Amino acid sequence: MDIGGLIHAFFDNAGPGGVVVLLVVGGACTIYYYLTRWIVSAGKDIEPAPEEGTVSVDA
Amino acid sequence: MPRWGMVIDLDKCFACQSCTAACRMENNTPPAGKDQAGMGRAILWNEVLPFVEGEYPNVKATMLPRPCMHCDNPACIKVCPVQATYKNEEGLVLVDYDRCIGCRMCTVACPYAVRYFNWFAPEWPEDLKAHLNPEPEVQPRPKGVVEKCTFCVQRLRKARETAEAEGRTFQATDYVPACVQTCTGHARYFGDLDDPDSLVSKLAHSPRAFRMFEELGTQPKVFYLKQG
Amino acid sequence: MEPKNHHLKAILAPVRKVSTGDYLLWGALLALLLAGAGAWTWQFIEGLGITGMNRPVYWGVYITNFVFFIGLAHSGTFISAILRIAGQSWRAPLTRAAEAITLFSLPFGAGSIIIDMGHPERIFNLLFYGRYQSPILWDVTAVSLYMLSSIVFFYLSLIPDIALCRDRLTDAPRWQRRMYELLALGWNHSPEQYQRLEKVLDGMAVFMTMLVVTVHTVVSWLFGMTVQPGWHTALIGPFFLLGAILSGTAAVVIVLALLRKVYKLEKVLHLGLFNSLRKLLITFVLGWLYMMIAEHLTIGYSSMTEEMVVLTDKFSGTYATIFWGMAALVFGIPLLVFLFKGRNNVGWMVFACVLVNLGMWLERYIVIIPTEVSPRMLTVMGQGSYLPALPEILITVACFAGMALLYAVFTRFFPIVPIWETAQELPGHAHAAQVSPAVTGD
Repeated sequence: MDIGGLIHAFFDNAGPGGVVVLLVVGGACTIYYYLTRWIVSAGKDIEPAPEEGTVSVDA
Repeated sequence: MPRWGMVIDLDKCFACQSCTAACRMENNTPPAGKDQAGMGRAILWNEVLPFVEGEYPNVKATMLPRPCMHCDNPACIKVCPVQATYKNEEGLVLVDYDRCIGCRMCTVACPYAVRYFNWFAPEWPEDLKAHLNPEPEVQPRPKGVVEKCTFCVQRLRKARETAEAEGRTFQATDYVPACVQTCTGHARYFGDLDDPDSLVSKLAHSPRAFRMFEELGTQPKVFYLKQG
Repeated sequence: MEPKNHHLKAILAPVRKVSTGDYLLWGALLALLLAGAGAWTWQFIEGLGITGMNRPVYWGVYITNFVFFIGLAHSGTFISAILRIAGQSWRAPLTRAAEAITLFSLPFGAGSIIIDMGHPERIFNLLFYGRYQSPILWDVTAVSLYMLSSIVFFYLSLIPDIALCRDRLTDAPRWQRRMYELLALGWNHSPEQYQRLEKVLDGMAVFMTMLVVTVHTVVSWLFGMTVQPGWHTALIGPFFLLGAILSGTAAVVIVLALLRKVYKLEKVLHLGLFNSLRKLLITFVLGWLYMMIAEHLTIGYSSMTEEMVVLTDKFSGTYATIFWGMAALVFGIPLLVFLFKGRNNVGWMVFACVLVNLGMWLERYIVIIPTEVSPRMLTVMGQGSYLPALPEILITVACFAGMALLYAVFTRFFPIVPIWETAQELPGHAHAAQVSPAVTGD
């Protein structure tokens, strides 16, 4: 596979830049959403954090 | 594919500005008016700039006609965030007026200051308006976009169409930009730089030939022949 | 289960009432903001020709504002993220006040770029046709991520205090209580929540530190990546970054002094904070001077033609007044004040910090304009000139007014001093009272 060619194509074409912006911002949004849920969910016994596999131990 | 280039013989140029005038009529650049021109906002795809060395009485003035350099490694294309400015397969650096967002980063990046911004919507006096060039490539540009010399792409297209209509293959010598055609002193040469037998190619290799800001690595396709 | 904070009353006091004075202030700021919006509309209809920009000065005050506001935004992240990593617990009372500067100046920084565009309605072309070789795309990525992360970082550390507001401010209007209810996300001050919150904030602090460096470096690369004299230097990134942190920290001092005075928070925002900030500011001012010398000495020593034109224009030409004025405002006067007058004296500190910020705005201006005025084509084109026109002035004023407005409104609805971070006792851990209200010297 021509890695150099791919990198060149990435920087040289209209489009991939916008995708990167969307991926970065979108990815951050998702991570922040789950982080917030994880923090807040600690106070609720009813709803354990769905994305956390381990059961957190209360201090 | 030809690689279009231009050679300007500074010995032959006497700064008559007919290139500037021909360019204006061919490419529909709007007259700026005195006030705007005073602010440096006149749009002149081709300019003849005075390069004055020394002080009176020991002055040496060189007149420097300056179209777009159509660099092989253009600084403007690198910085455009939306690829509104691009280089086509024949080496012409062009602008997509419908895509340009008007950030003016290309105008800032171009070391030759060949790129012009439409500060206002273009306007023409009635008499001039009747004589606008009808070609689609040079329709008046909206306000807020960048424009520049295209080496008269519309003439290239027309030359190709004529050749096809006449049933012959298109030759590099079939097409010249308006400034080259009109040049009173025959100071401008135009053609295919990749063809070693073309006149421009030979002149570009002459010992008198130089390019502006060679040190920047932009690889301009406009060559100048030194004043003797 | 709530965190116990001796100063709870004092901190919540400003949140309880919106006075007539507030409405007058908000009205005035809103009027300025609307004037700027009007100017922008005018510019949108007529074209950028109504500004003072021209050829070759294609970028003017708007881009200066962009760099300045993004720089100002670095205050909050510096105070709350970098000092958090460094374990500087004295910063706790001023974290939120500093982060609020970040949050409220970023929109005006990012907005300045949009205001500067010839076709702002084509902004989405950046997403449809984004070409990653352009430094503008780097800016879009970095600034939007920074804005998002700042909002989250700010909001996360606000949640426990919103919950406090929800529980304490029961006499607030209905919509306000509803807002607290929604924003608190059902926070119930459980020790586990606080532990997780601290964990996430610590993690994010590292990320935010990285972002601060990236964002301002990328901002500087708008200039650094061109071959124009005066811009094309590797130092421009660190130089912009240091300037940003300097102006941001100075802004924190100004805001802190205002909050203290207007909302009577002298006990919480104690004098010790100013003394700590003073030491930081001395360091940054000297760091800025170091960058300044490194940059200009390198250029001046080489005597390269195009570079020298710009340099002499700054040192002794058209821009000499602004250049040396800027040096006096950022470095000369403030350093003397910080060293000899600033200790235990809020008035002098504010004075010096206002000068620093005026100077830093001028510094951005003096980096951008002289290079454009003396392009490489100078010998044939002649020197350019630039003076901001009315719309540019109106919009600049509006940006500052807008930022102040957001700040003023925010402080009337949310506690500007983090209650839980300054609490003497926090559920879950023996949050040792690290905030000494003692008025200490050095």
